Amino acid sequence: MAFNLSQINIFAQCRKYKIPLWQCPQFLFTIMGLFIMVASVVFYAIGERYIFDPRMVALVVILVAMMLLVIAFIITHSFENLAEANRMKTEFVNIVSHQLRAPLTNLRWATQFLLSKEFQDSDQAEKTDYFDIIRENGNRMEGLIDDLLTITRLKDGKLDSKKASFVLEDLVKEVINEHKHFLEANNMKVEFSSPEDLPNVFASYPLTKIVLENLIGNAIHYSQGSKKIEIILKCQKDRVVFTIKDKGMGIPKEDQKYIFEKFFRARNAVYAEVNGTGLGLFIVKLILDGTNGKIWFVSQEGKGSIFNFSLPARS
Amino acid sequence: MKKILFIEDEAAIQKTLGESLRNKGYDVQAALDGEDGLRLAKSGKPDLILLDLILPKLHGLDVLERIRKDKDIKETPVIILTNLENVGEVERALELGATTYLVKANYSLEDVVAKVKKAMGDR
Repeated sequence: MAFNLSQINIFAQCRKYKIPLWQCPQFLFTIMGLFIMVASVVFYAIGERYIFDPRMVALVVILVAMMLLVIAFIITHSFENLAEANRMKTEFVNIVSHQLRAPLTNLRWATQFLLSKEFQDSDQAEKTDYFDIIRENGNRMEGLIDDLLTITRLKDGKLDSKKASFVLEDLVKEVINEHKHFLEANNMKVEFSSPEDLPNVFASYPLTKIVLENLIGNAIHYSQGSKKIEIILKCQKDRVVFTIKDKGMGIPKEDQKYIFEKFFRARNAVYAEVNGTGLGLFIVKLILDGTNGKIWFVSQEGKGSIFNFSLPARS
Repeated sequence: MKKILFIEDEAAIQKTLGESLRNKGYDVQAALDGEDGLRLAKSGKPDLILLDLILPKLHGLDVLERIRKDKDIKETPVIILTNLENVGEVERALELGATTYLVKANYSLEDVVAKVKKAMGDR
């Protein structure tokens, strides 16, 4: 096996695992080695001086053994942490692969069906249905990849999370406007109200936009034929509260506790064939938890949902 | 005409595979969730069941278990058609008497149609 000098650099090795130095096995082993060396020298010196006192020898041996035990325990624990992180990563990769496979299969099979001899021979009136499948599943994969990238960037701190004071009302209007075509096509309306003296919020502008895109997008897509969505901004003490109400399908009671978990989708959403990655609310919670925001909701299956979040105000 | 019950919640898969099988001359009935699938299996007595695993209302493995416990339909061949590839699910499905376990992503539409034909004893 080739030996690389960089393997000696413990700090570089530990950085690779992305865990604190005191939890890094290489670092702990080095400390343990140094400790054994120092202990041996001290023990030798003490032994030479107090060799005739067996109680002192016993005491030193016990102390050294205890220290080694503690270090060994920390090492085992850090290995467990590494193994757990590794297991979670594997599980994540498994779930992501499954989530990507579904639209990929749809794409492949729709294309293969369009190319099949039977289809070519038959009446081609249905062709658009299959092109729709291809388009929708292409979008679905794109959405999933975008969400996964957002999560990775959020976790690595690579998204612009620099806080600034801005007008939340303007950002809400901008996001509503992005959905304009969908709203018009489905004859839906967003009623938006905000008090005139609303203070600015102090948060990250791009991250708050992601939060709004997800919450407003959800309210629109889970509305299921209901035509009105209500958005209210208000000031409560030193925070600005955003509230969005829809009269859509709502979230079943037994699913509510999982709603912020990654890849979780409420059963009724899956059943109604509303496309989603199961990552939107996970991202929203991740952002708000990391930026001094709070989120809460009330929902009733078949009646609709009310999602709220608050951000610190700054006039 | 031989009857196939296709229990699958993805509308796109229902359309592509369902249509391909209809083109081969099978009578394909669609169920979009586990409960509906089980009900149609009991009432329609299909010659073959194509079963997805991640289904609303009732998981595919529960559907399979209940099919195997029902004296009227327990002999019906069941092909599992899913994108789950965990050893646990594969073992459980075969233990419960699934005829074959197919991972959608590993097969083309044509391959799956061929597997169905083979399971039905058609060429």
